[in-house]
Amino acid sequence: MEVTNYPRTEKKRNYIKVILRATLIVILLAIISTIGILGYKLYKFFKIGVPKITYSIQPYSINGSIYILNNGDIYKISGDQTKEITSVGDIYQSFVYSSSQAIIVKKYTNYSDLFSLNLNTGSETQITNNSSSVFDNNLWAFDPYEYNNNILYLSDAGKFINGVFDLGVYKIPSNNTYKSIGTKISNPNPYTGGDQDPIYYPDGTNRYILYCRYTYLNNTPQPLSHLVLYDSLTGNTVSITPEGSGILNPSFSPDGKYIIFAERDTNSISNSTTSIYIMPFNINNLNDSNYEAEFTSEFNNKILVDKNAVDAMPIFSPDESEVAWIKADQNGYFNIAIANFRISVDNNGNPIPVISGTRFITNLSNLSSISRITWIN
Amino acid sequence: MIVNIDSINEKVDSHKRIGYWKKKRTNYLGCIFIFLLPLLIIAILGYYYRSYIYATYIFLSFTNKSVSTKLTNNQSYKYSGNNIETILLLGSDNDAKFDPNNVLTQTDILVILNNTTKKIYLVSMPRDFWIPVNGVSGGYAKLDEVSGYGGFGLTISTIESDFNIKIDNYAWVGLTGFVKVIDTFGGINIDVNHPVVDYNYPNDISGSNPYSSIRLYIPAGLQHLDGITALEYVRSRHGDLLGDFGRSARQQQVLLTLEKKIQDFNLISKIPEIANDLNGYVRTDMTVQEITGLLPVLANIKQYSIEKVILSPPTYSSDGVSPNGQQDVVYPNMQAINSIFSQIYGSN
Repeated sequence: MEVTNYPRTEKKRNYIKVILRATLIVILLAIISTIGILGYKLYKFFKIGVPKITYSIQPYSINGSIYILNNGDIYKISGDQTKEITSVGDIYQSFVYSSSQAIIVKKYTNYSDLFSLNLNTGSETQITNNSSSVFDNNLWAFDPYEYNNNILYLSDAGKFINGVFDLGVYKIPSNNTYKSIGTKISNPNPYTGGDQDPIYYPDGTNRYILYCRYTYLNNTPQPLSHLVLYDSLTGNTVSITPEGSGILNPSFSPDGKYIIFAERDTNSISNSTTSIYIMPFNINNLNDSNYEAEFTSEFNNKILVDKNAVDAMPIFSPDESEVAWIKADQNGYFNIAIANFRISVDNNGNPIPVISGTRFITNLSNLSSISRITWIN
Repeated sequence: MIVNIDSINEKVDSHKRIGYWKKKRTNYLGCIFIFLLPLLIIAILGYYYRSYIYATYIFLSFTNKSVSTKLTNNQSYKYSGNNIETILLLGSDNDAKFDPNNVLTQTDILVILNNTTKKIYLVSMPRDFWIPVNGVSGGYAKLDEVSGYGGFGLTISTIESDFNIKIDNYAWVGLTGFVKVIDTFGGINIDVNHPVVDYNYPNDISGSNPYSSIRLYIPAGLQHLDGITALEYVRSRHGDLLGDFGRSARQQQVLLTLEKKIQDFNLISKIPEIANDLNGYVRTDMTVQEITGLLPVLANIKQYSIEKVILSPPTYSSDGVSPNGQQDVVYPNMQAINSIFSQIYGSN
């Protein structure tokens, strides 16, 4: 039997090979580590790959239906389902006021028009006719709000009367088919861009109209907004919040006892966030001589819903148990947030609104924050 | 006991062969691994380096565009500093109405970066500033018209001599470049402070007639703006009581919003796209190295406080008409302007 005896030199060669291989591995590891450290420094330098945060939408079923505008189409959130209602892609603003009807805005070059849209059949009925072959005679129509067979909206038709191009509040019957200009409600301050966000007080009479008025104040270079209430019976307009309070997108609770709104966090032109608040509202203050002080006191008793965020268009649920609003997530995409709402009482027995449990409820990422959301049964 | 040596030897041989081939295979695999791993690493680094090289190639087409400012080459400036960098941002309505080589500079913003105090100042200069200009008939002109007389070099040297500021670099962007930059970053979310209404907004980017106009409306509130809408927002001035100053404030707002957006962006993967978008629509005298030298500032921008100044009436200027009564102009209040620049540049 042959016995293989490795000579000493052969053994030495094997050891050297092992050492060489080990050295090579160590060198490789050193190179990889160096590259890793350099790569990390490169990452910090260029901020490579900031991970996109995927929001986990909590399974949640809402009562009633929320209607929103996303990518130019109306969507309906009902239960835990989100469903596309229209497939046209050209709706600029919408206001859905029943399960079958909506008022929509279509925007064109130089003018825009209101249409009544049947959500079941898709048929559209034109309400305004704002186009003109004469450039200066074209008109805008924006921001519709329908209540009790009347539509509030914004128009610049005032330019024909006093040459002011800023948009004012107008009203027109919901079933209007004459394609006419509506009835003027407000006179906007010139060079402010005009009034915005008109809504009816929900007492069934269409008497009171709340909207945002922009005004130039002495200490700010740009106009600032506040809430005013117009009485269509007397023609009077009263301030509900102080001038310069930076209010946007107000909405009444179904019983009219509260107003939910967005408020700019600063009056600086570089402001980038808003907060959502709820303030008590007592229409009977109008019967008192010091109504402005009373409204101001109610405004000062506002409670916070969401702070220092990119928020817009807050509303109440039909049963007033929840509030919803458009909120940008951490990636800057607009989504719908919902929070619980209830009334508590303080030590003196005064009602205090309480908010809890904010969460996102859709996977949509391109909601329009300039189109109203609605919540109906 | 009879031992079959040959079969044992065969088995030993076959084991040796198997071992040999196993060892050979292991060696081959080891060699392949050792060979491929560095290649993989080089490939990954090469991808990012290629982006840099490609971007550099494109950046070279619009960087390093120095302009002659020899009028004030030897002047010492009151407002300068060792650790202070001053960049002049110029923006033009470079539509078909104008000679592309002699555009007006409707936007003139000084970006002053003080690395000692960790402050960044955005100082907007009104386009209608009535200021002395060398070599111009009458000796005076509006700031936005200066580039029409002598290019960006004359604009830079005029600001340097009239305001005693040392401008280190300039960067210019046209209309389409602005739109492209905004769209490259996916648009911006911005708070439109009040409704923007314009009954005579120039429709000069698209369309056959650069002298036509359109009506414009942007509602107030927090919203997403794409490139075209962002341009409308920063360019509109007819419905604004503050006119050009209102526009300046909106321009600064968009710049700061874009800066915040860039911080959260996957910047390195967008460099080739940004370079492509800017090609032909941006000009600067900064070198590629100088631009990349600013990236650490961008990466650490949160350590800097940003202050905005608009040299508007009544504090820093006053409205008026030109001496010949033919133009509405803005007269600078040099005492107030010197005061603010003294604060910005320190006790220089």
